[in-house]
Amino acid sequence: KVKLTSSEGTEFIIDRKVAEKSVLLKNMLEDVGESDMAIPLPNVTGPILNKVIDYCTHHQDDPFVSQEDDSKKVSDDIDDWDAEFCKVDQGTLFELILSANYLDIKPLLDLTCKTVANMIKGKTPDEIRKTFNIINDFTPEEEEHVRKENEWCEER
Amino acid sequence: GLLTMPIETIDIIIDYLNARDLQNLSKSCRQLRRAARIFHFGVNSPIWKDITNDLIIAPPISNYRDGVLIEGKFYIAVLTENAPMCWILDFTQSTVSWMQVPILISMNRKEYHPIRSTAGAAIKNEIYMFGGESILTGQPTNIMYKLDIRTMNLCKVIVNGNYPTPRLMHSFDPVDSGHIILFGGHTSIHDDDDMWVYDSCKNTWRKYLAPPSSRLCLPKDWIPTSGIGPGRRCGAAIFIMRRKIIILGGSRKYNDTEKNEYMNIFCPVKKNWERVQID
Repeated sequence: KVKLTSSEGTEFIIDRKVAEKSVLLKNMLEDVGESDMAIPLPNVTGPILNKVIDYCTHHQDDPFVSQEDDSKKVSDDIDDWDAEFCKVDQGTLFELILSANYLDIKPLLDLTCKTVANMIKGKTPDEIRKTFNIINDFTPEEEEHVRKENEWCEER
Repeated sequence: GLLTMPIETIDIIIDYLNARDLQNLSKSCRQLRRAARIFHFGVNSPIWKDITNDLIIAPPISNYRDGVLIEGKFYIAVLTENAPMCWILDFTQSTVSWMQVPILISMNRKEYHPIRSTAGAAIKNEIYMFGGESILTGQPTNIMYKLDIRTMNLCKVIVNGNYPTPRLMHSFDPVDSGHIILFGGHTSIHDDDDMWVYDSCKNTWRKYLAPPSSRLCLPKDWIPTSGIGPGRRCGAAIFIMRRKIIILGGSRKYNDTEKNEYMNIFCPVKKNWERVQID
């Protein structure tokens, strides 16, 4: 068993196998060896850590994929459990991305980034701004330049 | 929000978008424009630099087909009678200017024939040059030279078997690591619309006869083709796309009655020509 503490000091006790889905924790555990000391995670809040543990528990038996392949990335291959897992508010989704990035959990990072990509797909620039609450900071000249820009080619 | 994410996570998100969605993302705000452009083009905005002053001394050439690019350096061999010279532009340096390196003639001096307006094609570290106009006679030639850019040694390539006719203003382009395609150009007797492929490993030429051509009574290295061929022309562009040879543009003969412009596509497997009209 491994003890983790979130940024507010909430303690979580999880299986070592679940913790090792995180490359950061895996490396720490290998360095420290068996220990009763809780590992502090000051960058992760309790509710987010709870979600991350849910994900790692569900996927604990998945094979470890380390090598990145060069094939075209697709974002429509999310299974039902993962899709349900990502049905959270935007704030939580971005917190999950940050935690997955910090804890180095590649499949969770890919899943959450795919979800954000799916929120961008098929939208106009204005719809993208509305979706993510982005302010249009182009000057009128820049706006005109951007508007006239040719289509970017689809890479082969 | 999205804008406060670390750049590496924005990169992962962008990786799942197609070019159209990426372009729309780039139009949303400055920060995402920057991220999208760097991901797609490798740069946010390219910086153009005027190098006219660095290139005041230019090589005495008139045919753009002479030059070849090998690993970031552009080479033009100027095959004059007395002092043949290789002119080099090194694009990997911050200051780009012409460098001149003398070409060493590794053949009997009497065999060396000075040529202008030849056409070059690079295979690894060697530049193959075919045809052009003889400086001595003013006539088209079918000499093939090979220049090794490591030693600057120039030699004549003596090919086994069949050989293309003398010509200038032809297209001569490398297509993979070992083959060169020769097409079109002006010839002294009559222009031909056959396509030739040089195999640098076997040191042989293969001739793809212009369609319609039949299998009857042909030498074994002449290959008949079917469909509608590209016709006679000079200075066309040749490139390979999806395992097919594409011939595009160039200038056609005056007596050509065809009004439309076509892109001609040759399938080396089926040995047939197709064409697509260009609007």
